Amino acid sequence: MDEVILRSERLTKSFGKFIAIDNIDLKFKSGIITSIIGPNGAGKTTAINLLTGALHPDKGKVFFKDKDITSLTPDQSVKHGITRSFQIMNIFPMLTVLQNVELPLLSLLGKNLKWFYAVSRYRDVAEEAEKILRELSLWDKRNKVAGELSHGDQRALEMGMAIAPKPEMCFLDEPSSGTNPLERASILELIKRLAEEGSTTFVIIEHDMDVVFSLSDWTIVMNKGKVLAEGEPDEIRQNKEVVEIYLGEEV
Amino acid sequence: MTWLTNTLVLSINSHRFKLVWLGAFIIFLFILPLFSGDYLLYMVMQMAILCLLSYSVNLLLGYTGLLSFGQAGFYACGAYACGKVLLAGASLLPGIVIGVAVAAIAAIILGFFCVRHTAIYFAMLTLAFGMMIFSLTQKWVNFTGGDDGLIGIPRAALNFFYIFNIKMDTIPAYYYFVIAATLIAIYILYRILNSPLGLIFQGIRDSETRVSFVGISVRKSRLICFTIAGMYAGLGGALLAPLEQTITPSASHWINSTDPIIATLLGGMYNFSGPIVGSVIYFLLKDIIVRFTMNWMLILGIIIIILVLTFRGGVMGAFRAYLLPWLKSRLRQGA
Repeated sequence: MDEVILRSERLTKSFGKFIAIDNIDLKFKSGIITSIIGPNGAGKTTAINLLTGALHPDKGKVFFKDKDITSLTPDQSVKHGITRSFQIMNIFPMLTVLQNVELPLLSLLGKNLKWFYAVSRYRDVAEEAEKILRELSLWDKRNKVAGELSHGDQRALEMGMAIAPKPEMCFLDEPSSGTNPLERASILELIKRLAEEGSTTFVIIEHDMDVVFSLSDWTIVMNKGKVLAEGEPDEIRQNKEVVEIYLGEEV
Repeated sequence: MTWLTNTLVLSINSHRFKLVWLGAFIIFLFILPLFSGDYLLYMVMQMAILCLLSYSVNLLLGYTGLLSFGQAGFYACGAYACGKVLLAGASLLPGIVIGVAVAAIAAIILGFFCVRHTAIYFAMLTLAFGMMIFSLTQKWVNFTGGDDGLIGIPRAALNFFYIFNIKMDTIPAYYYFVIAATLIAIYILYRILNSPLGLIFQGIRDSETRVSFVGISVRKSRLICFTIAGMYAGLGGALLAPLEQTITPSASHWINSTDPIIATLLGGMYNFSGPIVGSVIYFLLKDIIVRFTMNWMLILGIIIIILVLTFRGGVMGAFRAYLLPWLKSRLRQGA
């Protein structure tokens, strides 16, 4: 369980003169929930962008199960088993809820170039989509247009899209942002359940400290493009430096 | 009577109701030659060709979120290729097939450069490539005949080995061929748009980053879409060549790219039947307004402005959003 599934070596990325990620080595162990925290502009999202292929680093390398995946494009990295959700809601607003989860399944099941029969004719896609929607409790709303769902439901749907390709590793970028406390609780519940049931390793970026400490087994604290500290949530809570730069106002 | 209105209310939105309408429309198209003159048939064929072009535009615009100003280029590719093949003495089917194939090849090559970009850059690139094809049709005199174009293209017979041999010289005969080809093409597009591939196109329209993060190459899918769109424009052009029997560079003029865009917006770009409705209305509007005033563009412009400002979904969108609920409530009151 403790083996490292994804790691980066001296990852560096700058935008103009601003160094977003400064020479960092990250390690993610498989089978546990890791969270990345840090103040705004710490480079959390940039780090995920680099690890999932949305951006390519200026320097450094990314290894997934000891395979160099630094220069993969997002669709290739999904095929290797890495998916993600986004900080800013990213679903298909004009498609129905059902279509939203069918789409991620097409590539997984090798149906993305089928062009003649209706999507519903492919049994494996339909069955898998139903399973996911039931898990998310969205099955009753399957024929609704996704853009018309409540914010919390859209968040859940996006998570469903991230886990639909059955990834080995899934990055969730602030999965609870913009939700009310009730929705947040159910989303956390969902993440917990998915992590326990499935074989997916989750990495979560969060602002909300309750989320971090209740959910994760390992915490990485970032600041100004560097890793400030990492450890078990309890250790982090007591780390003086971390408290100073980040937790000070909240604890 | 209550029974009747109830059934009407129930059926008005159902699949079967649509099929009945569709069946009636197709039957109408096929019996039209029995009671109409050649001019009307010629008009309907022009509408069908505009309709194919509009589907070509709408596959990109409404379903994949790409605005192309270059579809006239592929239209011309189809027209010239078909014209050349027919002038060489081939029969109709090879002419059409080669016309579509040439348009597809052109779309793959130009699409390779275009699909890397989106929005305004994509639109400008397609416009530029369309204009390149326009000047090519004018300047490559040896092959295209320059400004005179290809003249005397025969309306070759439709034969398939020795199985059948149908003469196409009369307008009604060619009319049936055009209508059949258009209907088949539209049916195939309908299947494509409801298939996994079509779902991917619509996903790209909604969010391309999301599509790439579910493991699908956006660029490749866009190229496939651009190629299919090119084939539909090419089919329109290929059908035009034997109809007009003359093809000039005006086929590749950008106006043939913008007419279908306007027709699509008129009909409604998020509705499958939008391009059909739009093409027919656009054609009729043009034809009717032209009889009253030379400034038909002005009137058409006003109509389009009203449509864009008030009914974003075009005629079909308005039908669905306003007319259909109103009709239902009226019927319910009656019942």
